[in-house]
Amino acid sequence: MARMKFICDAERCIECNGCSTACKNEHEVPWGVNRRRLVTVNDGKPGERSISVACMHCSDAPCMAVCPVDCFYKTDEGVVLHDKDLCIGCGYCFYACPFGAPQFPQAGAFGLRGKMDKCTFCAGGPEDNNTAEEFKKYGRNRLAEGKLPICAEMCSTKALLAGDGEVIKSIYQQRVQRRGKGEEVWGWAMAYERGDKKMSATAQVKS
Amino acid sequence: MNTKIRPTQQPQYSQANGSKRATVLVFGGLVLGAMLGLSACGEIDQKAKTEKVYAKKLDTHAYDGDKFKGDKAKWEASLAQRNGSQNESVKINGK
Repeated sequence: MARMKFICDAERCIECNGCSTACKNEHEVPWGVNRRRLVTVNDGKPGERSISVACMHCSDAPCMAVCPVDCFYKTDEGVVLHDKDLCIGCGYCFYACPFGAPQFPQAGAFGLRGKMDKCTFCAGGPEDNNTAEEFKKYGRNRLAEGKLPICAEMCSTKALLAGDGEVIKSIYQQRVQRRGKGEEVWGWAMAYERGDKKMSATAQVKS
Repeated sequence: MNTKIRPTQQPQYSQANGSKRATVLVFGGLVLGAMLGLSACGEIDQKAKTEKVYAKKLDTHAYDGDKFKGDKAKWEASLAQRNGSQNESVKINGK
């Protein structure tokens, strides 16, 4: 069975926010909740990098470990999901998560927190697949439709890859081997000068 | 000085005394055993949980929906096709 994972290629991400916008639209995520978001380092400087971050569906998920009501579970595909009927909105998972994935909608005045909401890898929740109840609580279940997460599928530069860990790893590996690493793949030289030379050199090596 | 050394007298127990002592020992053992045994009653297991257990309803498989109707192979093929199509290098170069 495939183990579902995300990879974000920081060399390709152009910070368009298409992934987070598509996610919000697909699942009708409420105001103030961001299942996916962009993080940019060295903004506006040479070497700027952006990365799209959401729940990474950890193999040994710390949110599962700290949840006092055990509302988390993991599917056969390695997707970490939770039951909103059990969640008490305590926020422990938010402190435990190294990616800041758990989100809490404001449920009233005085900063009252609602039940936790996070990326589901477009796999819904413990309700019946593709039902109105599932959509209301967890968003659309694209996995049950034989589709991958919307964020990755509509990424214009294919910076964000989602799916079977082994497959997306091989795609990423192929890219890195082809383009090189570090300063080689950034800026004017890569785009207009060294890029063609490098590609032709790679092609010669391969042939 | 005529001193007589009296031989040390071993205590003489009668048959009745011996059985009484045995009864006391058995009874004492039973009481002690009962006390030890009952002392564990009502004790809550305080051993740390090493593995969390999901508390409530189980999720259905992704391929159990209306579209695939439990056909796991068909579902996996659909995902694999979409998974592979993320590699635009293959799409462009046809390799």
